[in-house]
Order: sequence, then structure tokens, then C-alpha cells
Amino acid sequence: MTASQKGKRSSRSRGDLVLKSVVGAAAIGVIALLAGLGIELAYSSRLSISTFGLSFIFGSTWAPIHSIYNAFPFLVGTLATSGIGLLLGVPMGLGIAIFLSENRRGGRALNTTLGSLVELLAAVPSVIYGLWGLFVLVPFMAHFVEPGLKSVLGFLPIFSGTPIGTDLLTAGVILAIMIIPTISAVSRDVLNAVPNSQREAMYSLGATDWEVIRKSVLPYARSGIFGAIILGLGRAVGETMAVTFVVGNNTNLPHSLLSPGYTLTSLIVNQLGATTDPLADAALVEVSLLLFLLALVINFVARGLVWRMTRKTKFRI
Amino acid sequence: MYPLMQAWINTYQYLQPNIQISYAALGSGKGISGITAGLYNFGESDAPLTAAQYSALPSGSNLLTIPVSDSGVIPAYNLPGITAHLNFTGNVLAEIFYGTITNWNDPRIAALQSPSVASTLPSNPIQVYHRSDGSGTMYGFTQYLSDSNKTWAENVGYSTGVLNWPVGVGCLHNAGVAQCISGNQYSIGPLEIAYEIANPGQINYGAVKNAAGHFVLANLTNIALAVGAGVRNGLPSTDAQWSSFSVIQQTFNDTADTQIYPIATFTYALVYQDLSASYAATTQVQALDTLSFLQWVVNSGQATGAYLGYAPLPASAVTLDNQLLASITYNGTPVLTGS
Repeated sequence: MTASQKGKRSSRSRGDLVLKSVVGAAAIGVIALLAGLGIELAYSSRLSISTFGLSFIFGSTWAPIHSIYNAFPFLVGTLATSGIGLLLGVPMGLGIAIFLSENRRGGRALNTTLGSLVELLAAVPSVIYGLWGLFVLVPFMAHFVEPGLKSVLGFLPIFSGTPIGTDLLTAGVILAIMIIPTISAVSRDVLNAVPNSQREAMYSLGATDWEVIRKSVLPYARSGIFGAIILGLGRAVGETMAVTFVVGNNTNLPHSLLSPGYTLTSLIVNQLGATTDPLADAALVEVSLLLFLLALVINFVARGLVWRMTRKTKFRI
Repeated sequence: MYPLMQAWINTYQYLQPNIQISYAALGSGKGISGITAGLYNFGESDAPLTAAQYSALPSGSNLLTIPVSDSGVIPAYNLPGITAHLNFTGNVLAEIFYGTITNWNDPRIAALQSPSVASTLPSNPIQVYHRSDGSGTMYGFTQYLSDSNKTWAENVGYSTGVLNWPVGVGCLHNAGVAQCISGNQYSIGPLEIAYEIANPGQINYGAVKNAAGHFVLANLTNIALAVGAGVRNGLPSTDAQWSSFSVIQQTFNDTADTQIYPIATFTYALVYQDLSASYAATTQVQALDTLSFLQWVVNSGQATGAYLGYAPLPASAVTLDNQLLASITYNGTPVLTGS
């Protein structure tokens, strides 16, 4: 090996080394940040953890006068509002994505414009959604939608109670609106990445448009769409200001979708800065820890499901 | 509290362009914990420190609690067709907010009104609203409810933080409560009087019965009278006394003052008596500026408050405040010299 060749090889491998170190440090840094956050939350809430134990997560009593802080109603609120958000937002978001990726009429300009308009929804700050929700959506829900629901489905226990507008259902509707752009943007990219050979093969067999989408495109893009849904769920679980304005902020365990309730995030917003004793402080941090763990669990479960779904298929997105 | 503080700071900085005051509105809890940790030159709070917070202060320190303004809580409601001011007592209010009284034409409410008003009370259910976020005025209001009604005191109590209101919907900030009430008929909710004064005529509110038996409709005058009565025996001098001091409780059994409003509260500035101590983390210049600002607030700045719906401090409170401010020292000498 000549000297110049040796020089070239070592400078390239030095470059590689630098790259690997920097990228590796970034990766480790992120993991360290996440772990540090979790440890700090757990440490700052140790008083509350030791005082309440598991009843913090499964108990429903929030009584500052007796120094009892249980967070189950808030957990229920977060899960219920996010669940409604997904139920309403996924079909809409997925429908938009399918339209934008499969639509042949109007040309590319139409799809790009429509796509940009949908993504504009994501550009609206969350606090604006909250204000709009309080001033516009809440009266609309209270005077039209909820009485209508009650007249048709009022026998169901989840629709019992007086429709007042500021309740879990309205919070779920706002969350649905907020996660539509996330789901549709990611799903659209996923659907666009499905090779045309898949579609052409189905068309050549005589399938209709809908059959092509249902039997060939969607299954191919399944794991990516699932990832989009999980992203949407993650956003819904963490959404704060929009939910706080409309969810009703009542600490009692909600017994129906029309009950006012609390989510983990809206409790944090309302309680922050107002705590006056160490146990209340610790309880507040423990609510944050609960939210943190919930987000982690959702992501792990999602990853696991995606892995299982794509294990047997040859194609992965 | 925040709009008032902001107005004071803006006005004072206009008068004294060389002085810069930065104010972080993080809530009374953070104000208190911040000054305990020496993060701020002075703190603001809507409620005095609790006994637990006093014990958390640095040892050997003396944190002065200085009333700088007063406010009151009104029972605001939205009843279509009724323009009269309804009468309430503390007990009836507690029962409404507890959920024991559910309809507007309940005999307990009707009994407090004049016969002509009582007959117009609708049979609709009462829609209850309250503040969702931590608030000093809610502290005062729920303290009043606790004093008026044993069930409330035993099950809910009072706090600056998130409370387990048995019924009703929580709205964010005063403006949120006002919006919730005005947007929903047959509703009721506690509102800081500052909001009503800044937006007159938009919301109807009721009179509350004081200890002397009069139904008083809140305004800046009778709130100022209430806090004046509350400090008639002087301000508390020790930390322990402050943690249990409240204008509402002082006036709860005051049968002599006939015109006072029963739900009146102070807002306080918190400042260490010895600003040169290490836990105060204040330089001599900062000490002088801080106290000049607070002295201005307590005296000339009271006029600013009236615009925003905060009653001026009564003369007795101003005198006591000036004495407190004069007692603050730096390295042994009083910071404020002269008048």
C-alpha cells in the first residue's frame, strides 16, 4: 500500500469515526434526556407515591381538605377524550388521505392544494382551538348535537345526563379536529409510497377503484397507517389548552360522555402554581409522571403491534 | 391580581424610567415558593402563607405580609327576564354550589327574595360554574362557603388549588367564568368584582347578606369598608397570626358594621424584613427600588387600582403598611428614609 493510499483510507475512516461518534452521542443524548425526565418526575413525586401508592392511579377521591389526591378520574378523562378523538378523527383523516392519493381527477394541482389546506389545520395554535371551542363549538354541541344524540341514543348510559356542552364529548370532538391533519398527512405519504405496480396488477384483474384501494393499497400501507394513527393518539393524549377550555374541569369520576371531566393535561394546567403544600406539589408531579408513562406505554404497544403485523409480510414501509 | 400588577408596573416604570421591574405571573403558590427560595426580591399572593409554608421559610427570617389591594367575589348569574338583584346568604350559596339546591325556584332561595321577585323565579335547574384554575379569589369564596356551611367545610373546604367542587363546570380564569355564565341561561358562578367593574352591565349579580343582616350589593366602597373593618384590630404581627388571618373571617361575625360586604379579600406583597440577609438575595439598590415601588403602590398607586375594579386600601391599612415598609432594613438601617 502506498503512502497516499494509506493517507486516504485513514482520513476516510477518521471521518467515519467522527460521524459515528456525533450520531451516537445524539442518540445516547436523547435516551439520556428521556430517562432523566422520567427519573426526575419519579423523584419529585416520591412523597405522593409513598402516601397513596396504587390508589393514586385507581382511586377516585380528590379531596384537598383531607389531603387525598387520586387521579383515576383524570386518567379516564384522558382515555375517553382521546378515544373519541380517534374514533371521529381516524376515518376522516384516512378518508382524506385516500382521496388525496388515489384521486385521478383534477390533476396533481388539486391534490396538492387540498393537501396543503388540510395541513393548515395543524398550523392553528392549540389555544385558538380552545377559544373557538369555548365560544363556538360548546354552544353548538349543547343546543344541537347533544340533545339530538340524547333523543336517539339517550337510553345508553354513556349519553345520560344534561347536555351542557362543556364535557368529554366536546373535548373529544376538538381533539378529532386537531389530529385529522396529522393522520391525513402521514397516511397520504404512506399511500403515495405504495408502488403503482400494486394498483396496476389489481386493475389488470378487473378490480374497481374501491377494490383496488381496499384489497391492495391499504393492506400494503397497513403498518404506516397504523403509525399515523398512533401519532395522532400521541398528540391527542398530550393536548392541553384546547381541552382545558371545553372539558368541564370537574374532579368527579365522569359517568357519561356528557359529564364534565378532567384530563391529565388540563389538571396540570389548572393546578400549576396553585399548590400550597408539599403533598399537593408531589401529587401534581405524579400526575405528570402518569401522563409521561401513558405516552410511553402507548408508543411501546404501538411499536409492538406494528412489529407483529409486519413480521410475516415481505414488504415494510 | 395580574392585570392590577401589570398596570402598577407600567405606571411606575413610566414615572421612574430608570427602574425595571420584571414580573412573572405564575400563581400564588410559585410566588410563595419563589420567595422562600430567594428567587425574587418580592412576591405577590392572593392568600397569606399557610402554616406549612411559614415553616418552610429560611430559619431566622421574618417575611412581612403587606396588603396592597383588596377585591371581592360576587355571585354572578344569568336569569333571562329577571333584572332584579337576587339576595343570597352564605349558607344558600354553599348549598347551591354543593348541589343540595338544584332549582332556581327552590323555597330556600325564594325565602330570601321580596315576594314580587320570588314569584318570578323560574323552575329551571341551576347550572353551576366556577373557576377551574387556582385562584386567590376562589380561596376567599370557598373560605366564605366553609364558614357558612358545615357540609361544605367538611367535604370540600377551601384552597388556592384545584378543588373538588361537587357539581358544576370549571372555566379558566375570570374571563372564562364570565363567558360561561353569559353564554348559558339559568347559570350561576363566583366572579371577581374587578371583572364586573371593567365590563359594567354585562352580567347580573346578587347581593349577599352580611353579619349585620343587610343584603349588600358589592361595590368598591363596601369592599373597602369591609377590609377596613377587618384590620381594625391591627394587622397580624407574627407569621403564625398571618396564616390564619382573613378579612372574611374577621368580618363574619361583625354585627356592628352594617354596610360591609362579607366576601372581601386582600392581595398581599411578600417581602423579607431584613433584605440584606443571604436568603433575600437582594442588593442594596434592589432593596431601595423594591421598597420605593411598594411604597408608591400602597399610597399613590391605589388610584390605578380603582380603574381596574380593585378597591383602594382603607386609610388604616395604608398607615399600617407604611409602618411595615419603614421597618424593613438593609444591614441594620431602614431602607426607606424620610416620609
